[in-house]
Amino acid sequence: MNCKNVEPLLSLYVGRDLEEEHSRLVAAHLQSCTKCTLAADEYAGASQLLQGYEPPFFSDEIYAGIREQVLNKIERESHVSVRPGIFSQLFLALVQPRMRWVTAALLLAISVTALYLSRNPLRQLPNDQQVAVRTREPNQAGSRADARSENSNASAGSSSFSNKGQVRRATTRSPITRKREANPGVATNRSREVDKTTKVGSSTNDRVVQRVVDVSQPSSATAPLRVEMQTSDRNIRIIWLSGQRPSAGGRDGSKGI
Amino acid sequence: MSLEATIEAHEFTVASEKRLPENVPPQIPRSLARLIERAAAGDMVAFEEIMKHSEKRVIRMTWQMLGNEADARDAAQEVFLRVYKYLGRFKQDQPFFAWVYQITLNVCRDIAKKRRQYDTKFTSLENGGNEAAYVVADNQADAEETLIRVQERELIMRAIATLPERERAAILLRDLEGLTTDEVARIMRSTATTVRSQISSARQKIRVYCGRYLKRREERRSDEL
Repeated sequence: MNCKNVEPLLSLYVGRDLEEEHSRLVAAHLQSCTKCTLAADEYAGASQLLQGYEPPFFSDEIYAGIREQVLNKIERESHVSVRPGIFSQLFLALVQPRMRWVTAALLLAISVTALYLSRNPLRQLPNDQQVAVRTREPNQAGSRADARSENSNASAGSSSFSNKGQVRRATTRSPITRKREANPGVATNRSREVDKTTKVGSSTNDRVVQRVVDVSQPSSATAPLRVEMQTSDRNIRIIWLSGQRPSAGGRDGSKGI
Repeated sequence: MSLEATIEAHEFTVASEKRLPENVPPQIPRSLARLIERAAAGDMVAFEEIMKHSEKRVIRMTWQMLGNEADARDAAQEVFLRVYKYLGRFKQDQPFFAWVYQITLNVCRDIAKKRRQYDTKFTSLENGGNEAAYVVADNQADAEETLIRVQERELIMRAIATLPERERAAILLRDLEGLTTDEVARIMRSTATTVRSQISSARQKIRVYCGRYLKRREERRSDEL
């Protein structure tokens, strides 16, 4: 071993922290190197100085005083046994200096979320399920139209559901819907299928009803209204037929199959 | 202590002795293990005994880490409060004093951080050191010797004050408390290699800091010879 290798090991050698093999090599080097021997002596001297780093004499009274204060404090704390609530603990934890970044980040996140929600209010209740309602002409079932709106006829069909508490009416209506309600007797020649999203309450029947409800729209005021509803079981489909459109003022002859 | 309290204490002792496991680990003496169990169950007499067992080590360590008596006493109080608080969590398969040292280091770090005194408020013997604690020499030769010791002490205090916290803790535990490198590593929640490196670095810094004084001392000794 040369001086370059020995120098970093000298402090550990003097403090007997080296492994036996390394210690033997360093000792062999020190026998032949004056410079490293002087350095080792300095380490030994520093170690000797360090041994003199003893605390001043503490009298028994000082120790007794410490013990007494500790015991008194424990006793006082045991009397005050009221634990702070969970919110108090949380608050105390958050106001600690080491948690200040977490607190700041939390407040920032809450502010951003509040700002976002104030600009984009939620339009749907989170627990509600959504059901797509399609209406189509019964005689032209195969045809597809591209018009999309919220259909009052569909809502007329869904009113039979709403009577049973299964479907809520859509609150917003498009201009087309209003026009049709104004002229209920006018049959539209255009075959039309309208996808509509409406909300279903959280009743137990929701599990049975699948998300797609077919509503066959009559082409005229006297034609029967046909509503098909697919359940979660593929083999079971609920079909509602009405003898007369409810909006025509006649008796509702609907029945379930 | 009243008769009822004595009987109660005796019954408590018997009960705790019954609960003590058969094979107490070798790290803890059986008597200390009993005391720990009793103190963890709320026996203040047992806890006071534990304090008496460990107070000298704790005070020494806090003083060496913080450098003045007032902080050392405050730190020692806090150490014992934490020991009492967490005594229930202490596992008897680990050395008790290593656990106490661990708490001591944490408390010293907290206090030093709080008062920000590591480098600025380290007590000098000229400014408020506990001079009464030092032995007053009778004759001139002893007085000279005492003066040299005081100088050396101040020098090493300043040298230790320059060390980073972890290096200071490592060298104090290893060189002054006489713990092994592995024990120091366990207390500091580190590896033996890291601790060895910290100790080596600390010794080098102390040697550099005290180098001039050590050279002068060697010269003086060689002159005397």
